[in-house]
Amino acid sequence: MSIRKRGDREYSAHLQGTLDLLVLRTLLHGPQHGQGIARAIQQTSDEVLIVEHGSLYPALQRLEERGFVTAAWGVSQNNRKARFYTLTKAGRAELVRERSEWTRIADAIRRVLDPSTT
Amino acid sequence: MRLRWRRPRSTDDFVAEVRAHIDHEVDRLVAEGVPAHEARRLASRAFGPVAGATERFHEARTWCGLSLSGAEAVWLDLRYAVRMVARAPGLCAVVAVTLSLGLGVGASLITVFNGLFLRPNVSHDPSSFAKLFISSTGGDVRAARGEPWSATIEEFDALRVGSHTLVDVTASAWATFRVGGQVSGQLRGLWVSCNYLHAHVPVVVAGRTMTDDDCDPSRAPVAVLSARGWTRLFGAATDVVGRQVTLNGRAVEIVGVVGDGAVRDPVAAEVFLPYSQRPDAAHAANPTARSRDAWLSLSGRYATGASPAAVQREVQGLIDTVNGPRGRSSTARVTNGAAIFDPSAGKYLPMMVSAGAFALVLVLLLTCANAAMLLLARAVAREGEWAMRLRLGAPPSRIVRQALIEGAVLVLPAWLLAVALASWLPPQLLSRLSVFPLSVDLAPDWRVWGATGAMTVAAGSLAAVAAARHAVSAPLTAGGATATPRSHAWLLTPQVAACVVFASGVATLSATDERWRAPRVAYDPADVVVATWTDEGAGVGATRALAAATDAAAQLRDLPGVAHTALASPAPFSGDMRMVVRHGQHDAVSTSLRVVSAEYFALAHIDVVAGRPWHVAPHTSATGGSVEAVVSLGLSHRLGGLTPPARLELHDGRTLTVIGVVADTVSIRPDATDDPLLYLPAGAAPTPATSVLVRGGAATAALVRARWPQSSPTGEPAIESLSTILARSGGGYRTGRDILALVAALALAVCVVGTAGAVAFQLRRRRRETAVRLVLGATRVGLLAHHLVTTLTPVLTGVLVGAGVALALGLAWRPADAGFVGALRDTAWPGLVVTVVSALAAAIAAIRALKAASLTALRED
Repeated sequence: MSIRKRGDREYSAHLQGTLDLLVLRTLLHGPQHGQGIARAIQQTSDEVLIVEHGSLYPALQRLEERGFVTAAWGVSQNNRKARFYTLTKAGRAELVRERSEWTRIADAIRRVLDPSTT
Repeated sequence: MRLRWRRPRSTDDFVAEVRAHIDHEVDRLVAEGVPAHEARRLASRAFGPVAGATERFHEARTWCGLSLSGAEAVWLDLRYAVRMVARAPGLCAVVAVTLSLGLGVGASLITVFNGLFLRPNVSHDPSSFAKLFISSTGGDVRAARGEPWSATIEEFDALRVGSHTLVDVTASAWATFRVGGQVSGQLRGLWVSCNYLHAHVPVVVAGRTMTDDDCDPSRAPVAVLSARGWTRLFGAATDVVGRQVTLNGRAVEIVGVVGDGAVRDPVAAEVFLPYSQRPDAAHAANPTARSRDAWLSLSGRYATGASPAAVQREVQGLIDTVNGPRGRSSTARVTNGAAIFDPSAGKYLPMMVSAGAFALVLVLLLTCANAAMLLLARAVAREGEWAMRLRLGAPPSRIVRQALIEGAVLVLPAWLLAVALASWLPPQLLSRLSVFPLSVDLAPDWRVWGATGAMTVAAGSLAAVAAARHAVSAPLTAGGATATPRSHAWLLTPQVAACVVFASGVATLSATDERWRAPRVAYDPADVVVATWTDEGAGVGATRALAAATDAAAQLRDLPGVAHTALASPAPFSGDMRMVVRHGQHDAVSTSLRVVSAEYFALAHIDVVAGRPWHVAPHTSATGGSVEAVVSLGLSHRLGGLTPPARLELHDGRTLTVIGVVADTVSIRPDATDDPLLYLPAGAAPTPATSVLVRGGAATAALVRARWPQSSPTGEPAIESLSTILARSGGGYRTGRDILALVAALALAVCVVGTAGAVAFQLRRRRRETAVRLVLGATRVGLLAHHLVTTLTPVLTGVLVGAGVALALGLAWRPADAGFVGALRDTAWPGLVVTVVSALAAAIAAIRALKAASLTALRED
């Protein structure tokens, strides 16, 4: 996943480990296929976070292997075949855990960048 | 780890999902107004390389918590590797054959070395086996055959009765038994103490084993056969127990057959007789012989809880108790029975074994290095493919793994072939080492297989991994790197040098063999018949043997056609006895010793230079109590230009009176410089064998056999011509030459592969540069010459180094008169052969590689 910079240029840096968190959070709204997940992340982040599609599916596979999501083939709104992912109970627990961790780290970074707000 | 029992997701399913994703993206873009064909292009571009995603999908898959990137990917790589091997069958066959031959022959020689020198070679409970070596000097102790590490019966009895750290202290002595009566032939056997079989060869096949009563000299003599002797000479006849046979002229009853248990010595015993039956000196009843004659080899079994150090201390104490009052100084040593720890073998055996092991490991390493070189040349050609895969998203670890699997596919069959070869070859090699059957433990050592297996895998994988690493570090841009791999080419130098040394060794041993077949003596060895009583075999006693030999010589002298008869112990070319002598203030000299009658000098055409030989009956020759001796001219010079009459001192204080000096002769080893020789009259020194020499025509041997004095109390001696003795004595050189020839052939094959691999690798690396040069007008012949010079420089350096080493070794080995020219000749042609063969291999490899270095190759890069 990349972060789109203002001026439409991308950072080369990746936000390691955040893609799984964002995917789990997106699936909290209900089952979704891969392309839908990618679009949802981009739209929710106001096109700031760009999901590399080639990285999304291995990440989904990884989440499925770990039991955080389940997948099943179905038909999308466009009447096309798609593989829909659903958040599991373990996935919800993981989402809570990861979100808490991410918040803690983000707060820490914010305190370092802007000590006056603490 | 949470285990989930479910079927792993297939790659097809994943690819279908990717297609669905792209279709959805196309729909979205079309909905936004993008033309359909442009939408598909943009969707595919946005997704990125599907291959990369698939690779990462494979990495992410698990089954039961275990990564599936392993099994399936390995299976795919395996299939791919097999296809790649099938694409270059010639190259792969060369690599496989090189590895299997190199590792197989190397492991075979290591197995034989291991069995002969490093293992205790004891079949029954080797962990409790202890070999005892006792050396006593001073007093009147007399070691059989001059071997310093034998024990007397008195020492054996003291240990057997007094030792608490050892149980079953046993004694043995080798002997050759001639079988007479209904069956005839020779059996290699042992005089043994009566607890020997119980301690070391406990398996009884038929009849019974020995009991203490069998060692009572008053009892009828008995013998126990080993299964090998029973089968070889008696055809495993079931009625052999209880049968009377004649061994060395004495009737003995066979009371049993035991299994073929190896007891330290590689020569397998075929028959066992109680040591008390050995007629020499009637040991049990003769106190002098019991304490004086050291001829027994001792061994034992550790008592529970006893350590080697404790056994050593106890044995030393007991031996000192026996020998101290007799004014002797004794040394005891305890080993596990491995030949390399045998003190009687001297310091040369460990040196030789170490040198041999070093050479073998070197050959193994060079074999693997050369095979790796060929694989490297092949792998370099695939750098472009791997670099492309990396750009398409394959992780570097995947490339390295594939390289490893490809290497393994190639070398593992080679290793299996090597294992098969090394299982078959050692018994074949061993059968050439001795005329007697050898019982050596040739069981494969897992460490040898492990080491050779590791080397094989290393050879197969390192090259591929090295090339893969290069592709990983410089993808796409480095196709056709121009780095000159000189460091690889210089690997050739040591192997070429080793090859020249081995080949020169073959030439030198061949020349030595020739000299053994036709020694430079003034008579024809085929005309000399030698009748020998070996003390160890006949056990007739030195005095009786000498008397019988003297009588026989006198009777045979009258046979028609006989020119001379003489006594000589040892017979020419039959062995070496040594003695240390001192003359006046000059340094002590270690000299060869031969006990002869006066007629020997005439028989062997040895001219008298000064003084005279003894004239009287040989065993009574003496001057005022001092034994009369004759020395060779060489010994006379070594002793400071001694002229007769002169007095020589022996190490034990006795003296000799030198009454004559005779010309030097070649009679110990025809391949060595004439040894200084001291001649003593017959009867003046104990000898392990007594020989009568008869020189006549070609029919003399038959005459001697037919007219052998029937009344001889010693029975029939071994009768053979001197040329037969020469052929047998030189047999060791022929065996050595054959084994070395095998190693040299292997080294040459390795060398050829290495040279071809170095050239191929070099040209592969420089194919871009070569193609550019060709485009710019360079000729193929010019490029060929350039690459040959580059490769052959280390080859020629190796030839020069090897020739230098071989020349030095050859000069040290050869006699002075055959010195430099012979050594140069034996070094020159192997060097020439290695150079020509290497040049041919390099040229063929270079021509093949240059064909591939074309504009097409440049475009591919």
